[in-house]
Amino acid sequence: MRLVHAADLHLDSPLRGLSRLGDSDLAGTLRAATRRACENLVDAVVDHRADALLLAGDVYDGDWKDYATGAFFVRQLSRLHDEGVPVFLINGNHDAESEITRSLRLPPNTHRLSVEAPETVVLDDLGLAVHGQGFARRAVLENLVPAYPDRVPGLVNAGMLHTSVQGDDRHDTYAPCRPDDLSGCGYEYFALGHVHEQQLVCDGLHRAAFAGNLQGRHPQERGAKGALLVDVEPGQRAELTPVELDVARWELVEVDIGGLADADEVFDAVTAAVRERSAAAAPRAVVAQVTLHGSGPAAAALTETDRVRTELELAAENAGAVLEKIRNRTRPPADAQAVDPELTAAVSAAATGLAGDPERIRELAAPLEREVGRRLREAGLLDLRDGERLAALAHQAEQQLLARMAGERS
Amino acid sequence: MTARLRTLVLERYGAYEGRSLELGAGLTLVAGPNEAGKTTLLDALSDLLWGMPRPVQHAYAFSPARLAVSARVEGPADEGPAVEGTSGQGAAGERILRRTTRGLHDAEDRSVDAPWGTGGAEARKRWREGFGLGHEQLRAGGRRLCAGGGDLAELVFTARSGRDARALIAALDVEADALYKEHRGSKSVQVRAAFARFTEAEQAAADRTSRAGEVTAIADEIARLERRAAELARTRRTAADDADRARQAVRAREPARELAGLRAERAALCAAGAALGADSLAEYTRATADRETAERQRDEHRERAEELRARRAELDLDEALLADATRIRELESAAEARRSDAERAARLRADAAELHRRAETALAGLVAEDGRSADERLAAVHLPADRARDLDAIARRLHDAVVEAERAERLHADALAEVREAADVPGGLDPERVGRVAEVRRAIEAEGSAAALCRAAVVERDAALARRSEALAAAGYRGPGGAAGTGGSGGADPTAADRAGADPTGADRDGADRAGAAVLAPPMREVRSLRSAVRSAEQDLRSAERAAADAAEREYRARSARDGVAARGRPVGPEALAAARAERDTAVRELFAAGGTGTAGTTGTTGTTGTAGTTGTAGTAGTTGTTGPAAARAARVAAAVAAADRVADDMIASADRVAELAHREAELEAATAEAAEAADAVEAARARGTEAGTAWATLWRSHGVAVPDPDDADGVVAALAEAARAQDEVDRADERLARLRDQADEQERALAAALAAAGRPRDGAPLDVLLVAADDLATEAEHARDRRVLLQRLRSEAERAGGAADAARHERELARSQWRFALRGAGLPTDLGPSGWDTRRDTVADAQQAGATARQDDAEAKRLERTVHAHRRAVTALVERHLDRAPTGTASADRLGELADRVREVTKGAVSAGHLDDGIVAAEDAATRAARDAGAAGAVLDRLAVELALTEAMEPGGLAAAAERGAAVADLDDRIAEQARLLAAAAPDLDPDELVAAAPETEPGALAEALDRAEAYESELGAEQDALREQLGELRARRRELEEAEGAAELHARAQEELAGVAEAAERYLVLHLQREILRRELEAYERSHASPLLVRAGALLERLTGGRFVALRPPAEPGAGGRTLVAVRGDGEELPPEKLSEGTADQVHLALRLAGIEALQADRTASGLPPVPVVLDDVLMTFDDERAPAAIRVLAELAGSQQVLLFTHHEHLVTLARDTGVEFTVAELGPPAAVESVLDAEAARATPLAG
Repeated sequence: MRLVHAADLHLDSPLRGLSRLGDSDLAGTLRAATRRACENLVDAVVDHRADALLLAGDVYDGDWKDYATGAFFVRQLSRLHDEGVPVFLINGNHDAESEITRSLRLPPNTHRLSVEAPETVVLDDLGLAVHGQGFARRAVLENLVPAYPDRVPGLVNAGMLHTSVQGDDRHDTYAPCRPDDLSGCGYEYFALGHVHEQQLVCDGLHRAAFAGNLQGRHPQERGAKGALLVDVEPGQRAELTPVELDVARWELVEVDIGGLADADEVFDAVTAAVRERSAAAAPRAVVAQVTLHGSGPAAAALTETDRVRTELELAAENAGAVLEKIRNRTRPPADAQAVDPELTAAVSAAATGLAGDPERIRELAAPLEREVGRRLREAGLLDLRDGERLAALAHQAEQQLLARMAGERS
Repeated sequence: MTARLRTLVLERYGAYEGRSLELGAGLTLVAGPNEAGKTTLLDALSDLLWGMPRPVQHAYAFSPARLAVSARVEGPADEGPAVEGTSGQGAAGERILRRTTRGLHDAEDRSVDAPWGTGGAEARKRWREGFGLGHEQLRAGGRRLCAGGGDLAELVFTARSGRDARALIAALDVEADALYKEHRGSKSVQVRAAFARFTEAEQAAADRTSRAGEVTAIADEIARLERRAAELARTRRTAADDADRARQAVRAREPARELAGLRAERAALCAAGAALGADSLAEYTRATADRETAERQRDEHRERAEELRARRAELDLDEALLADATRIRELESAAEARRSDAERAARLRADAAELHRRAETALAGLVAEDGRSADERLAAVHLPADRARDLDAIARRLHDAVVEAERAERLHADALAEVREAADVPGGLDPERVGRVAEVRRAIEAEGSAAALCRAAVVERDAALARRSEALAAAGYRGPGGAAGTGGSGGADPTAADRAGADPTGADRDGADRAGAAVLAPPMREVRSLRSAVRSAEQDLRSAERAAADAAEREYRARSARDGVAARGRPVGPEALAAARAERDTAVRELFAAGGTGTAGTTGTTGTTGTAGTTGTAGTAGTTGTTGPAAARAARVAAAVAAADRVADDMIASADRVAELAHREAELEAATAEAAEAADAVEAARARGTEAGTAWATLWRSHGVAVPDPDDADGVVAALAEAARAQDEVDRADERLARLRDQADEQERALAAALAAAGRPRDGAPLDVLLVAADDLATEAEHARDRRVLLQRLRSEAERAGGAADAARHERELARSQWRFALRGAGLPTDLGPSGWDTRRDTVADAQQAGATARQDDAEAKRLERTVHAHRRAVTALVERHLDRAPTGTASADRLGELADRVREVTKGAVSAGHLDDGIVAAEDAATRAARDAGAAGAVLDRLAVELALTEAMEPGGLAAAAERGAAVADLDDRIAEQARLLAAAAPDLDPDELVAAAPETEPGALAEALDRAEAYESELGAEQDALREQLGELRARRRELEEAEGAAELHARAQEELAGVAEAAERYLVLHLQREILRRELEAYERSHASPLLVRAGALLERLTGGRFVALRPPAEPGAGGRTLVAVRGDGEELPPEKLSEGTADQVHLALRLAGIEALQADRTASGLPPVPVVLDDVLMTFDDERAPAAIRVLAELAGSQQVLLFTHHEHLVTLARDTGVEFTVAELGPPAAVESVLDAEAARATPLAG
């Protein structure tokens, strides 16, 4: 029997931090990335002749309410219905209170498991028993696994749960449980959702895994994204094969400018690196976050932010990629002829002092905070109240200022 | 490495040509009075260094292309050859560089690069501002600088590296401000613009979002409404059925009642007796009707047959006539044709008779009435056709010949008349004599003959005289006596004299010609010399006047300056001090003189002073009153002492102003003297001008010519020369005339003699008249010759016409004889003319034609008459056979019509008889058939009666009554069926029997009421259903709209992109903002602790310039709100802002700053590989006193060690002061004007006070 395990579709959740996308085809693809990934999932289920699809929560995103999103999802489920593939679905924390969840009528092939108590659905013709419980509300803080039913003998038993096993730091702690809880159920496979990285939680006879999300949406969700093919027979250990389904891939590109003579060489190095990532991810688009670091003579020229942005955007476009952000953490060479060592030292000391005084920076950033701070914070783009972030900015300001001062002199 | 200018040469520049100035390698003092060409010199230096500007300046004496400034340059010898003789002076050789509008060239005229760097307007401006300064520029620049502005400000106010840091702050400001500004009005900053776009996009996404919850709610509502709608539909269907049934009951009421009645009636009828069944009744009815019909028809047919028989018996038929009927109809139809035949025959006969008469008449003129028939006579006059044709031809020829002969005779007569007219010729001339005249005339007019040459000479002379007159008029010649015009001798116009026929060389004209010959042009050399004298005098006067105006202006300025100083209050002078002291001394003396010991007086004075001091003004009043005379004296002494002290203090305080006033007064005095001098110069120049003008006028008056403008003098001289040339030509023409006169006279006489001989004497006439006469004579002879030739031609033409007339006449006679011969041959009378012949021939032809036609007409008439006759015979026979004799005696032949009518009558009767016979037979057959039908119908009735008797008891009325009842029952059945149909249609859903049964009791009102109720209920349900349907439609549309809405996700993504842009801009802004805050704060701190090196250097220079009184320059310890300012630090540590410094000290502060700036700028040049440029200071030490001026010269001399310094001054004593310092320097004097080199350069030379 072949199952496909996916989770965390987060349909219509936008890719974060991309500006200046314009109206190209690529821009269109990026804006609809989560939908395209979902379509890829359905294609993969059909292409791999899977017997059932398990969706372990978080089909929707946040408080997004658009009915069109749900309608899209229903269309995808209907395709599987037409292909005769049953779908098992549990609500994740995002789905629990989503208006969309409540408003949709799912096609007959789709089984949404109960949110009240663990439920078992047996498909005798397939020889499959699916056990699971969805989230009734946004925050489920108790361990649901102990209540899961015993395995049905002679069938393939698959558990479904939206959880943060062992309390993953990067994800909110919902329905916490231990791997032993999962393997203790004795199911052939436990399909987990919530954690966005693909991750094997139990690797014994009774395997449990996070499929990760279908499409990375910010720099922290980089690398290949997709679902798991689960080949399993009753009483056997499940075989897991990852399937890549994302349409755009987040990559960090780091370039050390040490040893690069000037800005052009830096641009060339970035272009080469982006091109390499782009080739590896093809035919997917790459969304790159470029970080320039190290110390070198090009540092001064790299303080021309607009020029750097323009050059690197062009390089990215040529490589079939887009830039999320350019982080310039370069320093001028230690021996650069500074404006005046005394002035340089004073500036450096002042900047360090400022970095250690977030209140002072908050004061300087206060007008901005009043105007746009809340929206930026809510969108996870920039927190102007975050002392650490402000200190980092002060540090960045210092590096760039010293680079510029050195550049002005040379 | 420097580039020092050692000799500056103004080759052609401004008013100068070839002026040179030697400069020292280090410091040079260029000394000269005001307005001594300093400006020109500075401009020349500037042009040499940086190129000639566009538009070119100083091009008033030379065209721009000729301007040239050159210099001997000591400096980098990397290009160009060294000047001869100086090449041994080490690596830094000397060379000549020359600047023109084409660029900079060396001595070989090769283009070279300027050793001091690229030129151009910008370089010139920089040099002027940075290195070439006048006193005013220095002062103004210094003031700006102390207030933080001007070109040196950045150097002065920015400590070492701070300069770049300032630029960086400015750049950060620009970048940061573009991203974000706190001020809310700045909507275009990137953060705000992107945020606005984000808000807009977010709103668009929200507008497009379909709330999923809303979709669910709508779906639920739709389901509920659909359920309600289904229920409502069911109820309404029931109500509709009820209403329908009530409606049917109302409709069915009438038919039901009717039906009930009919049924009752039928039952009663059936009870009354036997009734025929439907089939029997039909049979009975049919048979009864058939029998009646058949009997009636039988009777009718029989009557008809009888009637026809009676009519047949009445008919009369003539069989014999019927036998001939066909023949009679034929004759009748031919009768009309025969009648017209008869008429035509009669017409033909008449025509033939007429034709015969016409032939007869025609022949009557040709043949005698000899008893022969017309035909015979016609045969007698007939001519065969060929002979007639011959006669026709001959007759035509004869006619033509006669016409031609008449025409020829007319032409002949006309020609003879012309000859007669032309032969009327006047008498001729003698050709020989005429020939002689022509010969003499040719000799006279031949080229080279004496007369022709004389004439040419006269023409030339006239032309020369005219030119001479024109030239003299152009020159303004008035003649030696001063009278205008060309001819002193009464205007004896030579051409007019010629036309009068007088002797062309008449002696009376000589006088006039000689008068013109006296004209002489003044020598050109003298004219030029005097003209240049006049012009330079005018030029001098203009220059002097300009100089005088300038001097007056300077005097005015100097006076204003002096008055300005004086207006601030007359400073206290020594006189005032002396007066005050005298007053004091007097008071003291008086005090002593007033008695008491010196001690007592002193004590008294002291005491009194103390008292006076305490009592204030009362002390003064006390001198006369309460305190006594001693106290008053003491007070006066004290006041005088105080006044003297105050005056002394004032004098000390106003020492500077006294010096300035003295200086201003000295300037004013100098300016006044200068103005007076200039006025004298103007007078002198004016006198020289008058003198030159007089000499010029004298020259021209001596030549009898109006005094011309100097510019026109060349034209006047040329005109006078032209007049002299014209006079020469007149003289030569006169000589030729004198030589040829005798020969010309001889030729004239010969012509007069020849004309006389030819009968045209012209005694005493001049040659021209003689020539005209000879010409007329020749023309006359020519005309006579032409007339003779014409006459000859006319005569020969007349002869030719006579011949032609003779020939025509001969031809005519020939034709006549031929005609006569032909007539005879034809046996015709010989007196017959051609026209008579034509008439005769046509007459005979007419007669023949008439005879033939008449014969044909007779034959046709005969044939027609025969036909008519046969017809009449046939008619007569038939009439006599069938008609009775006519009582009126009408001919039988004319009774055809009557006969025909009779035939038609008989024929008609025969036809009618046939028809009647047929009718009788048919009527009898029909009657028989009808009788048979009546029998059959009677049989049927009998059968029915038998059948009725067998089944029913025989009732009264028998068969007929049974039939009648049967008919009534059938009728009722029809009506019952009709009503049952109506009832079924009205109430298809109700039971008809029940309806009929209930009909009698049913009330109509109750039924209507029930119907109204049912209908109201149904309509109520319908309205509810409509409302529900509408509501459902709306909800479904809304759901569809929500379900189909797409694109919110994309808009949301776009909004997030905009927000990412905001985040990016905000982050960048924050970084830049932190940077500028940090840098600004640190830079200020740094600058506070690091003085500008330039300011340090300027402080050192100031210390030297002020002899240690001021020691430093720096920004004030506590800068004011204005930001950048400078203060001077006095030796005692006090800081003085510029406005608190004395004028001289302020100038020294400014000079110190400027010199420090110059050093910095020269250092910059050196750093960029350029040599230092010369520094020019113009009168910058004007306000320096005799101590500080030498100090400044020492500083400048030191500066000159690394660069060339030119110090312009118009104070001679500065040179003296400089000499006393012992420093090394060169003096270049701007001396008096150079010597005049040439006449043409006099103007320029006078305006050049510059000497090497």
